[in-house]
Amino acid sequence: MSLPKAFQLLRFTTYVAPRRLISATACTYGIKSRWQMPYRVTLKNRMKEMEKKGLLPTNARSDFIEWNYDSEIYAFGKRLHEEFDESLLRQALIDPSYITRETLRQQELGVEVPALQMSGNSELSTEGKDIIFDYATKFVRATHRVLPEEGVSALVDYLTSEELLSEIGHGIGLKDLILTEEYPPSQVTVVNAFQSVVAVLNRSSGLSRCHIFVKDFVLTQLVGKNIYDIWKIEDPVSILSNILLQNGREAFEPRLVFQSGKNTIQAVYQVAVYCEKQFMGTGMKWYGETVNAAVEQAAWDALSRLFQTTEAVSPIPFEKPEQLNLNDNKNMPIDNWSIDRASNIVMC
Amino acid sequence: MSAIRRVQQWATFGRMWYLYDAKWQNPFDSADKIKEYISGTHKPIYHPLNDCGDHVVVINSRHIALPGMEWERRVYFHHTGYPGGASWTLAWELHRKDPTLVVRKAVYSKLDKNLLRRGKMARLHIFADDEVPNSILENLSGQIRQLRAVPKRLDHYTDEEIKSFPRIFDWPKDYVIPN
Repeated sequence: MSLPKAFQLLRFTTYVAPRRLISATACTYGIKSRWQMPYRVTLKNRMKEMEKKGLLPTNARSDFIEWNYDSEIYAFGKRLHEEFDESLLRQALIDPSYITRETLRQQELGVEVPALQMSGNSELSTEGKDIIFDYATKFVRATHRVLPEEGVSALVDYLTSEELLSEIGHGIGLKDLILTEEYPPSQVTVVNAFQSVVAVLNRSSGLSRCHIFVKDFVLTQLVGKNIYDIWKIEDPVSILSNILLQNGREAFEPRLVFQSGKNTIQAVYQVAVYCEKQFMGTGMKWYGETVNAAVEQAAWDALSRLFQTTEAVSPIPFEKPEQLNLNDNKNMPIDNWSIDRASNIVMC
Repeated sequence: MSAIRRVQQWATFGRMWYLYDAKWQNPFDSADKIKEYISGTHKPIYHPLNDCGDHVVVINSRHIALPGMEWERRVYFHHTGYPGGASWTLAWELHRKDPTLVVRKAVYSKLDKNLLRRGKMARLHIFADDEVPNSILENLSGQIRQLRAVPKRLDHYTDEEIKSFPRIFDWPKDYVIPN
């Protein structure tokens, strides 16, 4: 090398970035050099574009090198304080799409008959679905014994809906455990896996333990929910009239029971529904609201009182499921709902 | 928002109209009570930023009862802003000029001193006597209990009531009651 000695020396000294001529004050107040901001903006825009095109790498936990599937499977049961049969649990977490993909992959690699010793969770999923549906129906009937059968089925539909079950599945950490083609797993895949986990628990620890699991994770989703947000009652007036007619009562009569600020823009009126001089329910009428709507609200309130689903009823007894009378008897249908029979039913 | 929630909302935030009979009541103690209603502190939903005060209609403000020597001793100060513009008005003088002012000033001074004060005062309707326009009477939905029940004077009783009132003893028939 024919470089001067000074340059040779430079190779061994630490590299000092040439400082721009920014005043000392500017340095103190944190003014960075002019390329920094545009550089960061470019990076951010690039990131956004990549996100749009789906070029960003997935953040699957299994992509990292220290991922240990065996210990995750072991930890899954311990986390939930449940004893799972390990081979069954592994099967429960395999989506059929994963087997298809693996077979194809091995065939591409030149394996004529791929020797895959795994089966998917379709069978387990169906089994788990039945268990959840069966127990949810019995439980809701036992805790809402006066609620019409239509309301019960609406609640059960909500409890077994895809959105709710997939949310629960994500909650117990199935997202990273499921072996599936796509990542993140779709709603259906998570639901299938969750139902399979329930079925595996049934096979490993017995039905009673499985019921406790379903109660703890699925049925408790009813806590804090308004039944009538889930079960929409269309036309409460005609339903109430029909019930009164069926029970041989007189037609109900709406009355104005309270009013305030009649000549003001903030006038409020309270309408109540009476049947045979007995109070049944109340509704409000305010500015911009018609009288019919107030009567409809009153009828709706009367229905919720009849069905014993007001906000004042005691909470669902999740702690004492053994005290509930779980059976296959259906609740009264709404077309044939009897006031006298309902008054004889004792709620726990 | 479901129908039940909307009903709950209106039942909670609907404005009430209260009647308060100020006859023979102490206006300063009454103001303590009235201010709770017009600023909404009597409600569990109260919050300084929550506009939940109710209307109060005060009647018979002409017949208020000031304690002790207050009619002669209480002085209302006013200054016109010009030199020598200060004036001191006694309570009885003010009451003679406008029989609603003592109650109004009592409530106004009891309220918190902030920008909400005028708005709260707008919910206070004071009438000197028990003659209230019908448009306001129709709004009423409740009544505030008086601090003290108005006692019944002897001349308010009828002769029959006085005669039938139980006595501790009867005068002898030949006893002459000196007038």
